[in-house]
Amino acid sequence: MSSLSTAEIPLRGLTDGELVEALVDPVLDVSEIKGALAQLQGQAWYLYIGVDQRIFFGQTANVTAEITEIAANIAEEQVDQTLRDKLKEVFLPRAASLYSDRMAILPALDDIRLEDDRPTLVILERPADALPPDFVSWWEGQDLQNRVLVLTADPNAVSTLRLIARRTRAIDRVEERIRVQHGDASAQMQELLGVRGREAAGFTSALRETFKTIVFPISKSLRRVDDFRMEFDRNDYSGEQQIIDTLSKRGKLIPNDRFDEQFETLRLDAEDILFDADAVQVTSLRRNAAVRPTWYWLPRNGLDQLVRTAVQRGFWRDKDGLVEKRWERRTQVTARLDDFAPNPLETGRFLINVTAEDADTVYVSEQGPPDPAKDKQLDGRTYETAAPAVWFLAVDSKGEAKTGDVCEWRAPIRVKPDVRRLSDGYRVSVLAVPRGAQRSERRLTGQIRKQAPPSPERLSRRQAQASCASWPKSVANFPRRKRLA
Amino acid sequence: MRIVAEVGGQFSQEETARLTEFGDRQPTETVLNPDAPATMTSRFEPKDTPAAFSALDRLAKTPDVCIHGGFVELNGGRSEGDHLTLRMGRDVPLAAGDLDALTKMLVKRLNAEAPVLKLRLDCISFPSGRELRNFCDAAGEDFARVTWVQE
Repeated sequence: MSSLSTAEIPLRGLTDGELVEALVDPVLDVSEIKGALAQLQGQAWYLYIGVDQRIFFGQTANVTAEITEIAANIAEEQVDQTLRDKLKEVFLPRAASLYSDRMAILPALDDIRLEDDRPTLVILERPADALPPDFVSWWEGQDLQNRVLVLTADPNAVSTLRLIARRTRAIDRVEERIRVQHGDASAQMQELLGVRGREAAGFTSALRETFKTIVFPISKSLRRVDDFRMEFDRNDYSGEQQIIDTLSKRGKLIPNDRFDEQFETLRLDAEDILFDADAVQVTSLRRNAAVRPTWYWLPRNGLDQLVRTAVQRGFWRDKDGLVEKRWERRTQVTARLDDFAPNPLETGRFLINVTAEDADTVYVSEQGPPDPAKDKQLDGRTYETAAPAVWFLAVDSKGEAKTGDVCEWRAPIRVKPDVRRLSDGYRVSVLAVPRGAQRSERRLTGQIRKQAPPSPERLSRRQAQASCASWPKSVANFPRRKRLA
Repeated sequence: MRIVAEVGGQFSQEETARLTEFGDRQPTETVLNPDAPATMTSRFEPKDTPAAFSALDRLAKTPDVCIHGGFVELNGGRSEGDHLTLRMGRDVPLAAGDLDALTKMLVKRLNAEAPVLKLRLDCISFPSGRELRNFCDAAGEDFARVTWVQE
């Protein structure tokens, strides 16, 4: 069992059980022995585990020694880059509903670039209890003040993260060497994977203690929230979701599921904070949302949704490229033939879809502009008629909107001939709408096309023209004077 | 023929009805002789019950008209089996008057409130081409599609 035995097939080292058996005593917990052994394996340079799982000391240094040696020689910049990459993974915006993947991690203040449409997540290595004055001055000098989201990382914890990042980088190099020299299935690779696992666990553990404060802009200053705690769920950490939860709880972020509930507040605040005048461009609203720290953070396209909803609900108006929060309200009514209604040529009736804005009553007349005193009100949003013209007038009975213009709807005039051949000529039936044409001049004119057969001489002018006795369906017979041989 | 509807000074789009002298028939085909016996060889199928009764009535009132093949189907519509059918073979000429009487008898036997008559006549012989033409015009047959033979 000697580690340095020179026998031909020696039994080297001790198993876990044998070590525990030798070390245990009445006041010592067995799990403490196992923990200490695991720690020792991560630090001892000459400790090995054989294929039979016996632990023994060898004459050459193990991978731990190699990792430690390489780690000591890695440049600071490389370590910081490794740490940035790892933190980028941790805070990667999976939903991208608040900040983008252009995060500023452990940056110099000069390196921070803010975006117009979304906050930029800035991770600063600063003590948790106070924001550095240089950062506050930097923020005050920014135009896009409402686009800064800061997470402070405790410098002591960051030192630990750096140490782990340094070792992680070294592990990568050792892994490369082992893969080339011994292959993926070698005992060295297994040993290395064990070391990597321990480092990863150490990184996760250090992360918990690193980020404790989240900072976001309110009014004229930055607000600090100290109860930001990193929560891991089965070793999975969604930094984005935890930031979203914290900001939602503090009212800075209005998530999609609370949009309807908060709509009225958002609308009124937007009218106060974002509108510089009664009518502004959407781009102006977007700009103010980025510049003014008193404004909320909304999920992606949230401001567009707010504008759309406010317009749909009639609080704002979108007209000529401007969003208006106040305007002189005038009723408006539009009438349009229902494209899916039965064919008027078959039914003789038109179905009209009527849409009124800023009005609760629509008056309708088939004789001219409606008179609210005597003409009837439209029941529902459709009107069925056989008339050639209908007039609609929208009225706001509450008096909030002035009565607008009358909408005049004219029936499309359609005609459809049906030719049937008789033994001595033709029977031509003509269907026409609107039937209101009965009150108009009625005339059915026929003209033989100048093509043969038949030639114009074959049908007299008298035969080609016929008065219609009835409308809309008129029938005229055109007898042939003479058969062609 | 070009047709335009007008309402109060507003006009519809122009529609065109094509009037051709021969319809689908070639000008070289035989011209119907109004005085010679003629047999209508195109199948006659009225589109609804009133048109079918009217056609039968008109044929019955025209002397010497014979039916060659077809069927009369009367449906009471009260159940799946509520119908009567008379089938006529092409080789058994039936006077139009007889067919009208038979149909009326079937209607009586069916005793339905609103019987539906479906009529199909494969071939009808008329005593003259004139009678054939009058019948087609009255029944609303598109004469361009009507075929006949004359000896």
